[in-house]
Amino acid sequence: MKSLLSTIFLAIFWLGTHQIAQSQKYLTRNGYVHFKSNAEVDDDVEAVNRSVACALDIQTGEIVFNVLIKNFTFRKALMQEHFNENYMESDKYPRATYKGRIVNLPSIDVSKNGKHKIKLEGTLTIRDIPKNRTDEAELEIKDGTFIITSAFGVACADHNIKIPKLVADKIAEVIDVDFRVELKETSSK
Amino acid sequence: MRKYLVLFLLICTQWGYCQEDLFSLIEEPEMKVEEPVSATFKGTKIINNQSNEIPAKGVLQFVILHRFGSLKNDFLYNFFGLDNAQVRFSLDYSPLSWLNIGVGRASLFKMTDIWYKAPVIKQIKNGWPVGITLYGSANINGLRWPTDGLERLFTDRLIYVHQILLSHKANENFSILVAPTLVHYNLRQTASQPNSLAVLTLGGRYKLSKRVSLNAEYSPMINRNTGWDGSQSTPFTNALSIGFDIETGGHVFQLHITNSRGLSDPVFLTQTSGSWMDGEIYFGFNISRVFTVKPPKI
Repeated sequence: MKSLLSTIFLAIFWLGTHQIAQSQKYLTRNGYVHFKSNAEVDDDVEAVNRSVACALDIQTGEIVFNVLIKNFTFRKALMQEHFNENYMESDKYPRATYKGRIVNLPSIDVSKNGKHKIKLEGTLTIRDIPKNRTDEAELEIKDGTFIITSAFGVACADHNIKIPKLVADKIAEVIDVDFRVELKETSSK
Repeated sequence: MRKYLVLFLLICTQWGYCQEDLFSLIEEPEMKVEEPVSATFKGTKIINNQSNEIPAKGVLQFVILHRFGSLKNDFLYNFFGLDNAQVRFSLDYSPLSWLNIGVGRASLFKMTDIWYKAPVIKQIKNGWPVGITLYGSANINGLRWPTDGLERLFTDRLIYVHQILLSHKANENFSILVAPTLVHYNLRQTASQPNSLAVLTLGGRYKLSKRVSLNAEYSPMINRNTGWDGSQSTPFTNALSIGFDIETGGHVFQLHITNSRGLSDPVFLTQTSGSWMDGEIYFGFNISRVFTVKPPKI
């Protein structure tokens, strides 16, 4: 009898963790990433990607991004071709990823609306070259939606993106990147 | 006790599942997307012939083409042939993602031309292997008629070129193009000259580095153009050109040597006068510059 009760208890507990695990994840597939090269000579090196995928586990603070390089749109089509073909080699390296953690998420009450400064620690992988980094971001919790925005710099050299001397004055060594994701709770399966 | 162990393991796997599976939530679906192959060639021309490429929608392209004097003809006296340069300017625009229209003017025969180019079927990555592009040009011979008292019509000036460009990007570096071509002269220069000539253009490129490629093209005539004087059987040779593409930002520089002086379609396809064997080779270049007229919203 005792063992039956404890079995039931554990079964419920297991189901409980299952439920919790499902409801902890927040997700989007149409996040926004924008970058601009603020170089000496302004050549309009700027692109936007509106189909960035991002997931956040609010239990662990774990956060991941998946950015398809081909989905970056430039104003200049030829620039987009060169970006894919010569700089990012998007056939070889189709995606940039980020896997990290919101370090101070445990200290934030996620059940209440509000704005918080957050600290991200993780690995940004572009062209299969991982780079550990720490970034500041802002988290806004609004009626169960987690909106994360940030702006940071990515050094071309960190990911072995080679800039020919001929265009060195048109492409900055550090590219200014900003993103905005609106994460919504995943519907439990 | 075993039950506890099983449940414990279940819980562990459950947690394990949440831990490592976050990224799998945002992986792209396994769906096979039909992605067209891009950048089969760097430029819209291989050398003289058209490649399958067109500028993107809303982009205006200006191309300057030069062919200098023969390497044989007082090469240094004519400053490496620069003094005898043939010139062509062309301006084209892509109103649609699959249509390019343009106008050009070449100095040889004072030829003005208008053309369309439509990549109707694109090569698909890991799928359909051939890009099919239609190309057609109408060329207007602008030379003054001889004062021989004969009546000639405007339509007598017209020469049409039709091409089906079949392109294939074999890998990142190597692309080939085969183009069955028909050239039609409304007016024959001599009775022995055919009105319609078939040409088969073969072209290719090999990328030497990210920004430099080696290009070559050969356009053998299937039936011979016998030329201005019927007594000469084949005064015209097949055009063979070899060159390099150098790509920088918004330009493509194409430097090449060719036995064709003419820069408009019917001339290099069917009226190539130079012969590689006799050293009648011309150095030349094409420079393109693109202007984004209607940028897409980003």
